[in-house]
Amino acid sequence: MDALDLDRELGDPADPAAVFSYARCAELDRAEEFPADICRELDRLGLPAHYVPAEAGGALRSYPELIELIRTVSRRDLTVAVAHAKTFLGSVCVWVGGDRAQAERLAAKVVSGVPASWGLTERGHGSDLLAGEVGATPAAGPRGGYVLTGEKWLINNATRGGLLSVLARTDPQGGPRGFSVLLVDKGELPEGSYRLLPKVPTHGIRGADISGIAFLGAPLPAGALVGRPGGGLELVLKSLQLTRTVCAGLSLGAADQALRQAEEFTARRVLYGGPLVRMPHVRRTLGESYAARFVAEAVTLAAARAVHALPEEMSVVSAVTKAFVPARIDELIFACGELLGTRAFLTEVHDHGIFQKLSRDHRVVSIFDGNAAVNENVIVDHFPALVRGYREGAADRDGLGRALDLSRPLDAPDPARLTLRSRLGCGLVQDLRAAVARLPAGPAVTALAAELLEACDEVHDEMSRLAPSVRDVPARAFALAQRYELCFAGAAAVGLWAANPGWRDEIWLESGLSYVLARLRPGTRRRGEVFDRLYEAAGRDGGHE
Amino acid sequence: MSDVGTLERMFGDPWDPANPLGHAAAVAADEREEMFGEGERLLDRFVLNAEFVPVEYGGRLTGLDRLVRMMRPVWRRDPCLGLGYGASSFIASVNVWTAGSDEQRRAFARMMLANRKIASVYHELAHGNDFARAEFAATPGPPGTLLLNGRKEVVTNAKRADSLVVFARTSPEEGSRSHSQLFVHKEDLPPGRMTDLPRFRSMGMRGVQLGGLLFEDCPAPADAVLGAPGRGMETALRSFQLTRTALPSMMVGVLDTGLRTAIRFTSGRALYGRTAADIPQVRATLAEAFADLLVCDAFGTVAARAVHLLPGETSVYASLVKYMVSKLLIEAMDRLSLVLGAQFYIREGEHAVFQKLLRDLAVIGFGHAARVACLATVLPQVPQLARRSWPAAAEPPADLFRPDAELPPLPFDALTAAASGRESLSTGPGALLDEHGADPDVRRLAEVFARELAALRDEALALRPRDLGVAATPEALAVPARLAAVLAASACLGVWRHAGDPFLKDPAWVVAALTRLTARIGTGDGRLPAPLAERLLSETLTRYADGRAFDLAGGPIPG
Amino acid sequence: MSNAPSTEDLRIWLIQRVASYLEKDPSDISPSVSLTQYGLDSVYAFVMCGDIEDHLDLRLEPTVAWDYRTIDALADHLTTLVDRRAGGAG
Repeated sequence: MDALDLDRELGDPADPAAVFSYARCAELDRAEEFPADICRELDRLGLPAHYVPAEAGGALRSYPELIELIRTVSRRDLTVAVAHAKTFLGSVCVWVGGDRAQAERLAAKVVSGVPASWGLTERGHGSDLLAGEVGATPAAGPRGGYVLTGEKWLINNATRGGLLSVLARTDPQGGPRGFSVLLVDKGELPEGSYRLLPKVPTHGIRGADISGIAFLGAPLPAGALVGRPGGGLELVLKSLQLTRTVCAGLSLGAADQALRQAEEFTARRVLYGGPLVRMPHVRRTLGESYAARFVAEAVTLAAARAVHALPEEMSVVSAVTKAFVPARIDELIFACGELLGTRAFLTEVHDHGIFQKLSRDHRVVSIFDGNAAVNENVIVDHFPALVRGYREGAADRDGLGRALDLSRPLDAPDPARLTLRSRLGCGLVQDLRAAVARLPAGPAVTALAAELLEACDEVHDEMSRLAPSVRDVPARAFALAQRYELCFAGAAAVGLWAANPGWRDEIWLESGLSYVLARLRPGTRRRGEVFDRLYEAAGRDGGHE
Repeated sequence: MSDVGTLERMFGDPWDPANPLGHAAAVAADEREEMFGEGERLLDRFVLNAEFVPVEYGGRLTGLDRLVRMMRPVWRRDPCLGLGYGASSFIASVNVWTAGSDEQRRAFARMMLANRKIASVYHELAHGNDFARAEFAATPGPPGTLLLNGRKEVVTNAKRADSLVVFARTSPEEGSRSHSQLFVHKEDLPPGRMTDLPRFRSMGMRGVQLGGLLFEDCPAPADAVLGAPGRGMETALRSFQLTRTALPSMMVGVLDTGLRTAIRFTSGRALYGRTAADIPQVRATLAEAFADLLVCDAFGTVAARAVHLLPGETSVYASLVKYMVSKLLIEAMDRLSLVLGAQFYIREGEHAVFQKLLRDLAVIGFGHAARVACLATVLPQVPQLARRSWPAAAEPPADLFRPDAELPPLPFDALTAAASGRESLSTGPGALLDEHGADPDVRRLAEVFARELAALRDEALALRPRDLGVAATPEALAVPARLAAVLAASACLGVWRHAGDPFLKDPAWVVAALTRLTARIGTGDGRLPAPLAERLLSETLTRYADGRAFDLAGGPIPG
Repeated sequence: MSNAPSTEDLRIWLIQRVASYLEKDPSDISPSVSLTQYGLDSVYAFVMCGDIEDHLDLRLEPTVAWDYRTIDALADHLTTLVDRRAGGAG
């Protein structure tokens, strides 16, 4: 099943009789009720198999395809997407670090529709995984196993999930080797050995099951251990490289819906004697939003293919994707909201109030699985390698070629190649000079690409001047990491272009690079008419979708 | 006593969970989609409405900047109260003081002082900010009456107000002389001719009763018209000069609480073995939010004083305050939400007030005039400003920048719908450069804004008439947007030059404020260098510890 | 590789690196104290790993400092790796 099949099977979301309709999602949001019927429908259509690698018996062969499936669900409703796709997050540690038998057992459960959940966070510790207090001690007796105690909180699907991957302290001293991942099957726990914590009311995704679970000396079999004892933090950090990439699908789906709302409203709405969309500033805003979405798509596509082709670089690539894409889409949603005016916040008047819902829902994407600060910290930690790689123009050209050339098939992902530190830096950015040199493009794009390269030179110079600091990462380093994300975004657009002649009309690259450069070099005043042309071109290309 | 400190004390410590007037209670009311009842009763006791009634009519309204400061304790606690109890009646009142007869004013004052509510009834969903196309009609009926027909939607307090100030079409002709405002008392209307529409629910300001009204051949007394018939549009534009100035400035109280919540969160939170307040990135975000708050207050305060001192110029300032301050506040809250992380997303617990403020602010940011509409109001005046006022106009009076200096009464009749090409606030950066011995950092930044004004002048003079109307290009609209930054910078410079307070006299805050504003004119990224951020943060944390507000006045607050 | 660094050379070099990360004097760093106790936690390890790789021209697991938690342990481990390479190279 690909994304188009899924969308077709789900029927017309505007039809209130459809199971997965806008009307139903709005109603569930108001009632803060879990979208159980919609999730069952997604189960019936076979979506859970796409969270399971093909080798383990599932249908996950391609991360770009998984992201498109999640985008398709998110376009209709983010709460449903977050609630359902959580099973991928809940099982990913086993795909990355589990043994074959473990993976096959979990695969059978996930494919049959058992939701899985990921127990990382605890009350009061935020994103600091090393502060986790949930502890697993060895069980007495010949069969081994563990006894799990403590509270995981703010966990998506903690209550509804049948399975939970839990990061637990297995060495009382803690530290980077003091944690292990344990796969908990709630169905096998004795009664009274755990307690579910109440649903936490949230700003968005109000229907989602955001709750917690307290383990009260829960006995786990020895086979619950995923990977090595003490290997939990490493396993989680590697798994996050996959989930942070997949999260981009949530943002792209939200962007599609926000743009659809803005397009339809501005086309229909008559103000000052004509449709709103006749006003130049409205077209500019829409055009710039298309450019934003295109850039986010380029980043996501390059990152998703890199899972297969450049797994050794995913520590950087996933951090950039997760820091960049949700933040840009939050901005896009804000811009679309300004066009919608009053209708951006009324909950019942316009199209069931789905705009205000998605604007609240999408905020969560930046927060979970590591917020921008966490990801930008990862980028900062890579600065020395990134600078060196950039200066040497170093890249795994074979891998990069397979990541960028869309006509080439993707190898099966090999999680064993994931690593916590990309030794080579980031080939996509480091190969930019070569990509620019062979870019088949007209003079406007060529000039923009040259400017991008110049800006990348500046950014890397500044990165090289920043003294490595272990404890107090200065605010300036974060600002620089944000500029690095823009370099990556520009390089993704250029790289995909250079590798796929005739990919799309050149106006997309021109406006994408203009979008990137406007943020990379805020002091340079530039004309925005490229976005007006993009708006016109997108209309000609058959719809602004 | 009816000063800001008294009102703050009456509200008490918002962080005390047992305080029925605290954040917990305000959040609970929001969850129930109800107005904050205890808060309303307190404001009744305080007779907050008196703040909207000029002294000569028995109220306490002496100046717009005082009014703004009086409203901050309310907005600091609950924007629903700020709008649903306060600003909504204020918006209605301004039209009455601007255009009403003496008798209408007296009637209005009586009702206000008796704690009644009066709704401002402008909005029609089909026309948004395009008031000129409003369809709601008042046509001559039987002698002595007007017949009202049509719908008004998304109107604050439509249902629970006793009286209405209604914007109605009184002539089918196109243009700006076809509307009037009517001051109508519900008790004068026959039953069955005016019905309430169902409430409009919204993602923010959930407690506020956003309602609607349907009039069907509803007779109203002909003498309900405020001022001369056909002058409704002009009255509205004149009134906007007060409301667009005052409302965003009141909302500075929202950012005060947002910043306070973030500090409270960071100082109590251990992360990676230390408190989040130790992380340089977090410190910079807090310092920048404080700098933004000071920019908002300086611009808002100066614009509010300009209504008294320079009424002929305020049509420019008011719209640009609304444009700039609402944007700065929303963006500052967004950045603070990153400091709170996942905690920002939770609707319970001691930080829950933050997500409520964020939703409330989003709604009011789009409120009665979207930001582009504000720019479009100023744009047509820009070429004239360039010819007549830039860069040679005389400096504004020093009292403009001294919040403690006495003001002449509000000159409701001297407000004009459009300034006659005069504007003197933008002289700030140039004037500073003429002074000797100014701080070098301040000079450097003043030069940036003086150059920007010169560039704006050239661009403004090159604008063609067709660039100025609804077909204005984004580049043309950027001219008033950048002018807003120059004016905000000028306001900050003025307040700094005339300050007596040790902190406000120190160049640190004004350097920070102008640095932040460079991002608005595309000459910088607006980030504060670490030593400057630390200097501002130290003031922020001192005020937090001492229980003082983060605005220019920095007065004591409970909690 | 006749001029391969000794364990003692590595220990001194590591002390200097750690001191520079912490902006402390090398004399304040004890090679037998867990690096975590100095406030150098999981992520610092990757920065340090890159520096060691450059210094010794070696390839390391990024988690090397998670598994060898004091300067002493790390210096011993690195010496083993360097010796193995020297042996392997003949």
